[in-house]
Amino acid sequence: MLRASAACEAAGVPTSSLVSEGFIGQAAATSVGLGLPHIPVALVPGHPNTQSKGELRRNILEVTVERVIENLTRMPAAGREKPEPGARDIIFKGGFNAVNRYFYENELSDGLPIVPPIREAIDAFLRFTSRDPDEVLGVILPDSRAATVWSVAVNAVMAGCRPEYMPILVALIEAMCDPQYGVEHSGNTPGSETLIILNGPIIKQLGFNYTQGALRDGFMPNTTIGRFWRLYLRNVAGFLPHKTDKATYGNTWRVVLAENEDVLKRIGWEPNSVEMGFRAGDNTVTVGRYSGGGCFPSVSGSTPEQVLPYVADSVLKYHTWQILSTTSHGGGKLRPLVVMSPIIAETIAKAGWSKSDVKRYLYEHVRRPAWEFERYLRDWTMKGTWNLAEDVRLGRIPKVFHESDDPNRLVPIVWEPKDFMIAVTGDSLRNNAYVFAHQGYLGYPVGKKIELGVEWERLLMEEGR
Amino acid sequence: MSRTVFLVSPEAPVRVSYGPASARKLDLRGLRLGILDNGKGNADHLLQFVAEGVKALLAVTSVVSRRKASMSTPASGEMLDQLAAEADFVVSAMGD
Repeated sequence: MLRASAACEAAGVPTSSLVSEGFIGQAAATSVGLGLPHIPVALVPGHPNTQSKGELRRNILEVTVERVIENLTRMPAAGREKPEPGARDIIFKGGFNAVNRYFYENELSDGLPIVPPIREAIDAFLRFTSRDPDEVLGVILPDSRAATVWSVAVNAVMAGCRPEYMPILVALIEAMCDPQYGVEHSGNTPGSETLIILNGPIIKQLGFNYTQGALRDGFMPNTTIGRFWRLYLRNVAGFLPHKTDKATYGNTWRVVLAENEDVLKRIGWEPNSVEMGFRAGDNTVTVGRYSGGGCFPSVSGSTPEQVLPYVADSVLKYHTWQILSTTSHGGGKLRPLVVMSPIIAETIAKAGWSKSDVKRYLYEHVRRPAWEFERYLRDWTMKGTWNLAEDVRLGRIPKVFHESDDPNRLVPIVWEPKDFMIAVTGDSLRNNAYVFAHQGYLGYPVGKKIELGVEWERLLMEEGR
Repeated sequence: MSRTVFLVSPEAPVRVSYGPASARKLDLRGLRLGILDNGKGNADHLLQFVAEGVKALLAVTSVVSRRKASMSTPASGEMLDQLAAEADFVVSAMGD
C-alpha cells in the first residue's frame, strides 16, 4: 500500500495512507526504504476487521478523517539520510562476548551467538566465488539495500557457514532477489517461513543430511544455511520484528531440505530441480514460503490407490485460507508441497506411476465443495465481494472452478496438476510424509542453478573435502 | 575468544534516494478526491466513511475510486496513472 502512496507522491499527487493502529510502527519503518521517511499516514483505531460497520464509521469520522485533512494540507517533514558505515568499514572492535552484545543490541543478529565477521573469514568465502565482491545481485525491499556478494559472505560467516557453501549462498540470494519470489512479503502477518530445497551432487559433496531427520538441526550445512537465509532477511532485506516484520507469530528458520536423489534415480522420478526447469544432475536451490504444515504418519498401503487418499486428504486439510492464492487475488499461484519418505515414493512408483501421475491424482482428489472454498475467503478472512462464479465469468480463473451453480460441486485448490510439488527425502524405511502449506504469490517457488567456479575441486581439496 | 577482533557491517549499501513528498498546494474550494482500495477486509467500507468525512469538511467535486487486484501486489501503472491524472489527493487503504 505504501508503495502506491510513494508512487503517487513522486508523481506530484499528495496522499494519505490509512494504517490501522497495530501497523503504525511498520509504516514508519517501511517508508524509510521507500525514500519517504515521513510519508503521511492517518491512524485507523483498532483493527477494521474486528469492528462492526457502526463502530468503524464512528472511528473513521471521529479520528481518521481529521488526520486525512491534515495529510492533505500540511507538508510532511523532509527525510534525512542516516549516515551508515561503508561495506568494508570496521564497525566494532572487541572480544567475543562484547562482539555478540554489540551485534545483538544493534539488531544485527538473531539472538544466538554469531561468528564474528572478520576480514580474513570473509576473504575465505569470497575465494569460493568468481563473482566480484561488489556485484549487486538485486535490490531488496523493505530497506532497498543492494544485495552484494560481499554482504552474502559477511552474513554467511556470522551464520556459522563454511566457505565452500558460498556458491549455494550466492544462488540463494539470486533467488531471494527474483521478483517472482516476492521477498517484499516476508514481513506479512501470517509469518510464513522459507523452505530451501537443495538438489544435485553438491548434497553429498558437502555432507548435507538427506535421510532420517531431514528437517532436524544437527547437520552443519543444512542448519547454518537455513540460519544464513534468515540473517540475510534481517540485515540486508531489513525485516526486523516489531518494525518491518509483522509476523503475528512467525516460525523459526528452517534447515535446508536436501532430496534423496539416489532413491529418485532408482525409481525413475525426476528430482525437484528438473521440475524447476533444470537438468538432472545440476546443482540447484529452490525457495518457497510456507505458513506451516506438518507430518502425517503411517501412510499405509501397497498400491498408489491405497496410499494416495491419505496424502490427498492431508494436502487438503493443511490448505485453508492459503487458497486465496488460487483465486483472482493470487493468480493461481498456490503450489502445495508434499515431501514423501523414500519408501512411500517407491511404493507408488513400483506400480508404474510417475510424479506426473501423482500430481494428476492430487489435482482430481484434493478438492472441496465450492461453498466451503468461498466461505474461507469471503466470510472468514477477506470479507470482500468476490466469488468463484464471477472470477470464472471474467476469465480470471479456469472454468473448472464454476462448471455449475451447485454449491456442493467439488473444486480444486490449484489451477493445474503441475502446481503440486513433490520432493522425496527423509527416513528411507519409514512410511511418513509431510505437507507444506504454501503461501502462493507471497513466496512463490523460484529455482536457481548453483554456479561452481573453475577452481571448485581444488578449493574443496584445500578445505579438506 | 578473548583477543580483540575487527568486524565489518553485515548490512549493505542503501540504494534508495530520499525524495520530498509532493507539495501540498491544493485548492480546497474544489478538490478531486482519489481512492485506492488494496482489497483488505472492510477496506471498502472504511474508504466509504473516509470519503463521507472528507466531503463533509471540504468541497469535493469528484471521486475516482480504484481497487487493486490483490492486496499484496503493487498497484498497476494504469491505476496510478489514472489517479495521478484525475485526483488532486489520494487516500490509500489500508495497512493492517
